[in-house]
Amino acid sequence: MPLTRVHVCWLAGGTALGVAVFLLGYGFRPTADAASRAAAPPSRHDPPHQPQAVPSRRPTDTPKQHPPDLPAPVQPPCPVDSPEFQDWITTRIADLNALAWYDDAASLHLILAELYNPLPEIQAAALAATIAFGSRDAIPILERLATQSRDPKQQQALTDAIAYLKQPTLLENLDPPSADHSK
Amino acid sequence: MKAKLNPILAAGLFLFPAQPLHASVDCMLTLTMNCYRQQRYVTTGTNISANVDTVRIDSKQLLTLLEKELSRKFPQGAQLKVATDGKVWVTDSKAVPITEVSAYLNATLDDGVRLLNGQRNLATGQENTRSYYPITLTFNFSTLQGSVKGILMENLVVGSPDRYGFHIGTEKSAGTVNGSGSYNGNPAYFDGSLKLQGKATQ
Repeated sequence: MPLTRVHVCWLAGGTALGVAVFLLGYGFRPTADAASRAAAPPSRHDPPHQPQAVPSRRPTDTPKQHPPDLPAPVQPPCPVDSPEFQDWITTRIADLNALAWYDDAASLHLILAELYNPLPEIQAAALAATIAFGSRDAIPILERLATQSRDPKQQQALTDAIAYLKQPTLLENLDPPSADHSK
Repeated sequence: MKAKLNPILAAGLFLFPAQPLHASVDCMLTLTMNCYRQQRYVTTGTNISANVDTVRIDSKQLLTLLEKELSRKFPQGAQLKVATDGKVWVTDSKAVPITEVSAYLNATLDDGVRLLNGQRNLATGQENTRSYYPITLTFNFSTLQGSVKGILMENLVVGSPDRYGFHIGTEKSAGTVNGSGSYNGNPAYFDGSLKLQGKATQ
């Protein structure tokens, strides 16, 4: 039977439909890269004792790799849409505020680690705690984050924090040799 | 597991039932500000050359100033707390009061002109409000005197009573402040931000 114009049209339409179905189905599947990442063993920076990160449906910041000299940011132990999540956020922010009153390097590192937390509430609280901590040791981390950040508001907040911490302190001007709060 | 209500607590609750929170809760004081003062002012003929010196001041530095004034050392993690009456306390890291320092640092919370936005249920004690109120923070150290004022925006959430009738209130207030005073005997201006954060059960 000879191929007529009607046959060609049917054939082309069927092919187009098949391609569309294939593309739609492929689009909803995870990419090969994401699948391999999910199957990969945890990196050496993953804390062994941390609870499993709960998948989030909320918009979060692009995760940034935290430096090896800082602990990993704490992940929420409950799903982000659960009623306990808001309590957890409130508690974490209170913890960070309390840490800011200490003067030791370990407390500063715990605060700085949370600057790498993908949850924006925790990031903001960590930046506020870094400013309240008042140590210039935080400046290299803040500068690195400001370079990596693509969010202009976050960049501005980081730049403002750096400028604030670079200033001399009241205590340095009162009694320079024994100023405790700026290293 | 069903918890048993302590008989003493039950008697207390019967005699003094939980009242709704009408005022804010005791809060941790976080202050970060800049202090500006005239560092140099030289007149040579018709030329004037001048410099303004800027230093930063924060709550932890105020704690150190308090240590100097009181000739005592506070434990690591000590904090400044503002009570609802405006008195300022030094507490340890667990919020246990150590000493009152209102003679050196005092907050005036002007509740009389508070602007309220949100919901408050006087029957149940539940509240979810945002309010605006003026605050004045006065400091009176030997090297630093003055006061800063501003409008704080307060978010106060008081939940429903728990099974014992207690309410948990969470407050977060923040705002910018500015003012004037003296630093090392020289006139100085201040500007910065003030935060009050607290949680209480009533």
